[in-house]
Amino acid sequence: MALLSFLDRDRTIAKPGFNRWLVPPAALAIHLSIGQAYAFSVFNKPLTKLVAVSQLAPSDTLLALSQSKLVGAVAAAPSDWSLKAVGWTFSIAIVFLGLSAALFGAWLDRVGPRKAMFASALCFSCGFILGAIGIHTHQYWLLLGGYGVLGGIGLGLGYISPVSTLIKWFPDRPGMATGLAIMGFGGGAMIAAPLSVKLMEMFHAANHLSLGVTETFVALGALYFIYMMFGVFTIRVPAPGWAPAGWVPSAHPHKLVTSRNVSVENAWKTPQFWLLWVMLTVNVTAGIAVIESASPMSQDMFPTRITAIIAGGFVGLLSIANMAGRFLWSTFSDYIGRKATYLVFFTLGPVLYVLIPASQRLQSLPLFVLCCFIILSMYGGGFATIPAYLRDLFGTKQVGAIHGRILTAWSVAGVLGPFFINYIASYQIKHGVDNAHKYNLTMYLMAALLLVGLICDLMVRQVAEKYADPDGAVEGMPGSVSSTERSHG
Amino acid sequence: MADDARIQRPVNEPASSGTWKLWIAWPFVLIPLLLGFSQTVIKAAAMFR
Repeated sequence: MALLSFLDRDRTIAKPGFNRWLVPPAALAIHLSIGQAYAFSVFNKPLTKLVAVSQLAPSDTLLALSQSKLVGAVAAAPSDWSLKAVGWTFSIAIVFLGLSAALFGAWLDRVGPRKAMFASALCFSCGFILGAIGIHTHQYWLLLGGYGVLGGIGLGLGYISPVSTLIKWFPDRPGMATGLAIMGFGGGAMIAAPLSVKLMEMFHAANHLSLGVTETFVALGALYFIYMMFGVFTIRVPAPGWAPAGWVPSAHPHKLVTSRNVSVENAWKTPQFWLLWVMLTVNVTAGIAVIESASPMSQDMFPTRITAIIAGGFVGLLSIANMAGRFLWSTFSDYIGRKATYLVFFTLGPVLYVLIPASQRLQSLPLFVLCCFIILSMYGGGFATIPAYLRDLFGTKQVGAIHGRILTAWSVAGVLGPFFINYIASYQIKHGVDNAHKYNLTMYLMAALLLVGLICDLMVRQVAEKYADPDGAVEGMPGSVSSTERSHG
Repeated sequence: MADDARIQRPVNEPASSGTWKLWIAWPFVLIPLLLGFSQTVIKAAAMFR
């Protein structure tokens, strides 16, 4: 299997003189692709009208409409999937993202990023193809198993694959490096949403009896596989002992930053791991509270000023905040430290959540937009800063595996968050709260939840020596072999 | 609150033979990102019209 040996870790070790700035594009190619998951909602409505459209007579005048207008004009058939059922596809994908990241993280650290990225591309693309078969034959479980399970495994593998590699290439700027990659996950939806809509329109124009979803799934599966191969072919890992030319590690590492590597098995047992797990869960849940309700909340709070179209623009603005926050906050963390960055999230965050109901009372749209924008930037920032925080606490050796395990927090928050938020909303409505005020309790609860995160962050201390690997000095830290006998390249 | 800050000295990248590759790699990922970004900005601009 000579072809597959190309995927081996040994074949990815960079030669002297390799420019490390070639690694972020490789990482971005993967994250921009898997970030498509955030744009899955563009398929929600078409997936609920598949049977209805297929039952139209070829002479039906409705078929002359564009794909989006046809989706709006046709009523769902009794055997069509419900919106709730279709919504589960995304939730399942996020659950499997976390599970696969946790399960395969240690494997990734062993086999290297190229093999893991290839496996990710294969799973993600085959997930689309299997999903397409499910849509074509109208087999719900095939859609769930394809895009949700197989695609979700691809998401998890792809998400963690380049992160530990980037941390090793950028020991001087780990926050910025991981932020660059994880920014791609936020930005992927911006590419996928218009691309998917265009493809569906195009395929519908070619065949009026189809909504173009099946064909779009196949096209996206193929396109993303090719795009992800760019990452697979260009990724490189640094040679052992490599450090950026001219870079000297700080002689006085800061309190939280470890000089010893901690294995994934030991990291799991430390209180620091669980404190960070709670912090990530809390940050994601709070962010989801705004993402989930952004469009209806803006229309309900400002009924005379926000229409459905404007609300669509508002959601777009929030996706920009999500993407920008990933890069900016994690880069900022290189200067002020990870703990301080999370302290900003957990102190500024509650204030912003409390200000959202206040903005409605004051009917101040700029205040409302500003609060939501900063909240979403911190939601993204939380994702992007966590790998560097893990690296500070547990070293670089198994940071990929540890990062994978902590992403189970995302799975939990991704499922429980919306459930919790929808429950509060229906509770409010049941008790006669009007539309404009039904989000207030959720916002106050999210503010309180962030305070739990604040307590956890304040409790984070350096990992105790007893958890460190006996032979595990962190590359580039004082006392490590490589920091004194390094080869620059 | 900079107790765990990791500010390091500036890095001097070595002159690399792979500079031309950067001119292919970065546009390959940035162009789709910028296209998607501009579409989103146009949509978001509706808020302020």
